[in-house]
Amino acid sequence: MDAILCQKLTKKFGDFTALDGLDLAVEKNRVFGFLGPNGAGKTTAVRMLTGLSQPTSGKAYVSGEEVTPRNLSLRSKIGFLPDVPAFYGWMTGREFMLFSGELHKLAPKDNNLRADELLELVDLKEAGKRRVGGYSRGMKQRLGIAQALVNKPEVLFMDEPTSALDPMGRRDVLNLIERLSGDTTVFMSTHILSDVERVCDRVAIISEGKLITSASVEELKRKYSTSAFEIQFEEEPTPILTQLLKMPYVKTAEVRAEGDLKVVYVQASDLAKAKTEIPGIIAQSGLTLTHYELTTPSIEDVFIQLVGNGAKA
Amino acid sequence: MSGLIPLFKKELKEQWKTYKTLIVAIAFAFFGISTPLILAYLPQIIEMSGQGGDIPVVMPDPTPLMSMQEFGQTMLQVGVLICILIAMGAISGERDKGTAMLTLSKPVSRGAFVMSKYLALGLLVLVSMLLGAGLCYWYTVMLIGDFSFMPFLGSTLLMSLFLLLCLAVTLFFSSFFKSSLAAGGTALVILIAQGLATQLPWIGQYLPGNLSSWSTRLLSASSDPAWGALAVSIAIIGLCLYFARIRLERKEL
Repeated sequence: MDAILCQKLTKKFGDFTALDGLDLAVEKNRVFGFLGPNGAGKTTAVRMLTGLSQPTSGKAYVSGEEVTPRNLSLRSKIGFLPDVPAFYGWMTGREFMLFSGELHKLAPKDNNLRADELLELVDLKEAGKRRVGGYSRGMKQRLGIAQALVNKPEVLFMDEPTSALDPMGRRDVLNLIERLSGDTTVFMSTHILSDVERVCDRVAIISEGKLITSASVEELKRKYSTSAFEIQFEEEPTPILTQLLKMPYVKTAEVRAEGDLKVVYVQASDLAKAKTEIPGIIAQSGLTLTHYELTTPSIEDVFIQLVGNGAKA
Repeated sequence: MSGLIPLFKKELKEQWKTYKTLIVAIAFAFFGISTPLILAYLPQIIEMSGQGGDIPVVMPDPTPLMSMQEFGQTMLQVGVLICILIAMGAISGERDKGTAMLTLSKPVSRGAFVMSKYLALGLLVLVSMLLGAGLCYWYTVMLIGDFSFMPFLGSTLLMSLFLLLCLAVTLFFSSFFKSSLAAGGTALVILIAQGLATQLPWIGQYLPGNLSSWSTRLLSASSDPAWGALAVSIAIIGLCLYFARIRLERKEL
């Protein structure tokens, strides 16, 4: 059984279509990255999947239950971290954790233990005694993560979980997500591509409310991104560029300026052939080689290719 | 009504920690004490301020009935304003700040969310009203003269019901608008309009505004109850809370 299933999920605000017929299936206990540029419809989708917003048409199922605003048994199975979590400023962090636990009907003893455990996990044990009104945005984000985990959710929805965090906080959150994988399904919307590459098993890319593709990170890299050679010389590289462009296994070759350096980027249509032939061409050119690297494709390359160029899978 | 008890406890705690409990109780107590006090000492106050001059100011002797009626009139104006002020941001404020989203992502029904706010605000207004009325009664008996307790209690309860209606109406508009000011303003206009509409033939007698005139009649031992207005008021409270819940279910958070 899929942990999350969307069937033609659509949301319209007047004439504007925020989400257009999303069909998506997320396997159980995986970390799923929901990727898209700002305004792509990520937050709209997350809100509908958590029952906070009603779809204009289509259906969604989470943990086998249909998502509706009145389905409370579903809500006891999920955790939710909004993009900007807002708290009651007069409460202390620990009070908010206890309040969340009470809403999930935890027994008082378990609630106290769970609150302490989670506050320690997100490094807010001391700050938990202070009012949330005085917390920084990063602290609020960490408290948001802690409250989302209070009921040991089967499915955890996180809307931009690392966007407000400093590098250390980001690393901690990503470590936490990695630890959760295997026991919890994590649905993480983000536009931070390095986060996706680090923790997600599978990704879906959406743009302008439409699903562009959904696959594993490796599949996407294989399908949409080609390896590139980065070559640098002490001398002007233009002569070798002309020669490279004549080769049938070279797809593109260009010189890019990186500060004072001029770097030759070569994309090959036949990688195996290029690997064996290019070093020979360099040797024959008489230029002084300073750097030679075969770069591996990143999810960023895939994202830019799919979203930036408006391509469709 | 899943989650009603923890939400209700949170509302009470919030009222206490944000000093709402104290401010509302003090406001009602102030008018409860000041009404008989001013009435009893008004001739002396005028004399001390030197306003009388050579022209003698003829003041009727204060009676307990005057004090009780004056308190009722004050509550009809100040009490209503207090109710609107404390309820106008109850739901709209939470939606605007985003706290409602986090709370409603938990296994909590929209009905419990609305009801917890109404019960907590209603309890605050009811206790404050009884405190103010109790102090008014006590000071009136001490400074002006004795007054039968039961008519005063009946009158106070009718005024309290009217204030509970004001809370429900404001809460409904708070679920309707994202701006607290819009919610409060609309509730005020509606409440004033229904007050004016009590003068209309036939329908006027069923409007909640009649509760205040029934409350005044009770003080002067007149037996002319407005059961229709009482029933309509209770029905309006129920409808406002029901539609606030429906509105919250259909509205984007």
